Amino acid sequence: MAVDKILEVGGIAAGFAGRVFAQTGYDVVRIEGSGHANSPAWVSDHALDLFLHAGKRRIATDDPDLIAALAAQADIVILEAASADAVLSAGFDHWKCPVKVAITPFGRTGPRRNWRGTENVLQAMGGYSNLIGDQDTAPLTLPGHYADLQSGQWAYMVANACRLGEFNEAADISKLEVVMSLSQFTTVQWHCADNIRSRHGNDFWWVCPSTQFKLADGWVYINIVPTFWDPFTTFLGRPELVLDERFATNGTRMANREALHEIISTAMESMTRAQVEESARDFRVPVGVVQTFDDILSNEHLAERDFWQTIKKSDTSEMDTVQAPPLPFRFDDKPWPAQTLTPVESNVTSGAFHTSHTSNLSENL
Amino acid sequence: MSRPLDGIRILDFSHVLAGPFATRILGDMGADVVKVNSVDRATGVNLPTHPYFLQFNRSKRSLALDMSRDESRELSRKLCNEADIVINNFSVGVLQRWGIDFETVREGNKGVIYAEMSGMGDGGPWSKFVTYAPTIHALSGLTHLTGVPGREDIGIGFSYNDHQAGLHAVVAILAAIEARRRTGRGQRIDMSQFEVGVNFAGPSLLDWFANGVAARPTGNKLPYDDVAPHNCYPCAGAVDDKTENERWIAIACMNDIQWLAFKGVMGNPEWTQNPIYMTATGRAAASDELDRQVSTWTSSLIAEDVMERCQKAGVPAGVVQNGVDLVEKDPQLAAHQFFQPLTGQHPEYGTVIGDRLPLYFSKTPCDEFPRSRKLGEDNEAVLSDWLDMSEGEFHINDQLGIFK
Repeated sequence: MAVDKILEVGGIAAGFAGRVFAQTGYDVVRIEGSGHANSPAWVSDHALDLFLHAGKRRIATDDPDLIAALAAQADIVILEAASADAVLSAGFDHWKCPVKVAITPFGRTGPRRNWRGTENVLQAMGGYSNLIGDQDTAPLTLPGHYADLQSGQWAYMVANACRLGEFNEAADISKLEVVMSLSQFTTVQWHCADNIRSRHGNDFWWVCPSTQFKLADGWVYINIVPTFWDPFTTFLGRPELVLDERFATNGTRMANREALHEIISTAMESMTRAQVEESARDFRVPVGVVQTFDDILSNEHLAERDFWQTIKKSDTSEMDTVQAPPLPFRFDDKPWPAQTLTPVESNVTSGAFHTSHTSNLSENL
Repeated sequence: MSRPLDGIRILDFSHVLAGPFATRILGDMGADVVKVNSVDRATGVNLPTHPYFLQFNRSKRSLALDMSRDESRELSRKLCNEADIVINNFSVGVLQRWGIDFETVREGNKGVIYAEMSGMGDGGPWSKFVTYAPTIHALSGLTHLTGVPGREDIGIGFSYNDHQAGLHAVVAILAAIEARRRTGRGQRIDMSQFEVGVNFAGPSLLDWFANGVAARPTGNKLPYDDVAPHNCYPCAGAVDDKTENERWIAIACMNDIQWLAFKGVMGNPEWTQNPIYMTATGRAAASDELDRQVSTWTSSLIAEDVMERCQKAGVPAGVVQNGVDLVEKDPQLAAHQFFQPLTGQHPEYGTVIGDRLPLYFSKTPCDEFPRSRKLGEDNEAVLSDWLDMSEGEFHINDQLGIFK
């Protein structure tokens, strides 16, 4: 059975959808065009290319006829555009492809369909920024491309679901709504409890203790939902706290938050990250040391799980390679195979897909 | 109503957020999701009347089974034989104790897709770690990235990774269904919520691995592009009794055209004539002073007005919205009926409001979201549909007391 052909047009959101398709063995062609939607960069273009575009064929073109022709050869088209009108002017509605997905900041309909939406604007309007940062200081943006990557995930899901259901459909995805689809508590707290959720630094606020503490050699996040209070006191070396009425319930711990935080801070300041990890494992309490990128690169758990994927930087004989995080799941315990980031091609006129491509889909999955 | 995943059967052993969010999405798209719960496990956020539960367990049917009973375990095995997908989001070893681990299930159902969603994945020295979203943020590098320069103690203020794990589980399951369609073979999915976090830090990790550039918290400023203003700015306070006193607006001038437009929105004040602001590089270099000037301008203005004026001029801008803004005020969300009553009256709460799928089909509506069910509300229907159990057989089992 021939594998589905995917045409990807756009920036990071379309790129992430295409990444999932490419990693799982589909035949993906990416259009690198000057007029396509792109996002402000939180990382270098080179890093984004390595992360998003390995395993795809990349073609540089702004030719609408060529793009329409490629769309007609594809089974799925993912288009990311800056606005609803940009989707129209790209010719999306005329592309002859069974499954088409358009991703825009605010969707293709509604009064704000042509508004501009960057990552920080979408996080602000979608309710994330109001929860990030300290009280009484400026709300913060999550650094990265959360709205884009999430939109890419939804695009993959809807496109794949349509193919599975044999639905010929055009789907419309709003990045704003995608942002909101991952933070229901903000809205639930309002319509269920008339409570306006706000930001408290790193403190989760509704559970106590649930915040970050300084260690002798770093930081640790401690998140003690009620089930873990008793073992946590032992972890802390303060088992007598179990009998302390100030901390008997989550409610009383919240009421005595500052006193409790002081006790924990005192206990933590002399502990090292290694000690915390060992004790957390022994006492089975939910704590996590704040890891740096070097920590993650050398993390023994990831290494033992054969987590990292090799990305080859070019298709020449002398390839550079780099480790990359693959899709965060695996099938039948198989690690993800290496992928290659090929150079962008120009002067491609047709035939971009591998017409007889039968894919390594079954090998990957 | 026809939906893309009609006909797909999912047996759902999940709790709290990540697993239930995954199965909610699959149910929203048409899969027949049967959530297995019990009186013993229906506590805290897993209680069917908890707001958490109401939101994340819509579009599913409820089967109550007392899994301490052999009869219930046997019934579960039969259900597994009929399932396309079994989701295991419980602690390591629980489903094994019940005799419905992957190997056992596969013996009776060669095509089964068995999705395991654990904190650390199956195997590795941290596999027994107890995790929650904030601890995953810390371990995976997301906390390390988030905050303002010079501060190590600001991270993500909400359970982001739980939701993200749910999304990735759906991605994995759909990929596995597609593989099964081609090969006829089911498989086991091992998803680590820790690796979900690492994956989302991926672009920054690659900058470090490939380029030696270590990303660090930059507040609201972009570390790569010469872009300013790009920040959150304070606005005038409450406009009505449902608006918090604190109001902010995010503004991003991504290029010279947007900067010129933004100057116009501000009325071309004299300070903007400073030559340093003529280029993107200059604006980025002087971003602290630029932010101070913009803050002075916004601080007496209504955030919504600034947003409207900026967007009309083509400048990306958005109010920092809270729960009230999103549920009651945002006209775009209202036009899309993003919040809508779930289908059916909940026996205790009546109408329950929920957020819809963030996608719209051109031909096939996918916009009915049945309310979450009471514990065991669908026992008889599920067993009849999946196992062809007769009324008499159901009654016998009921008499045994296993449906609780």
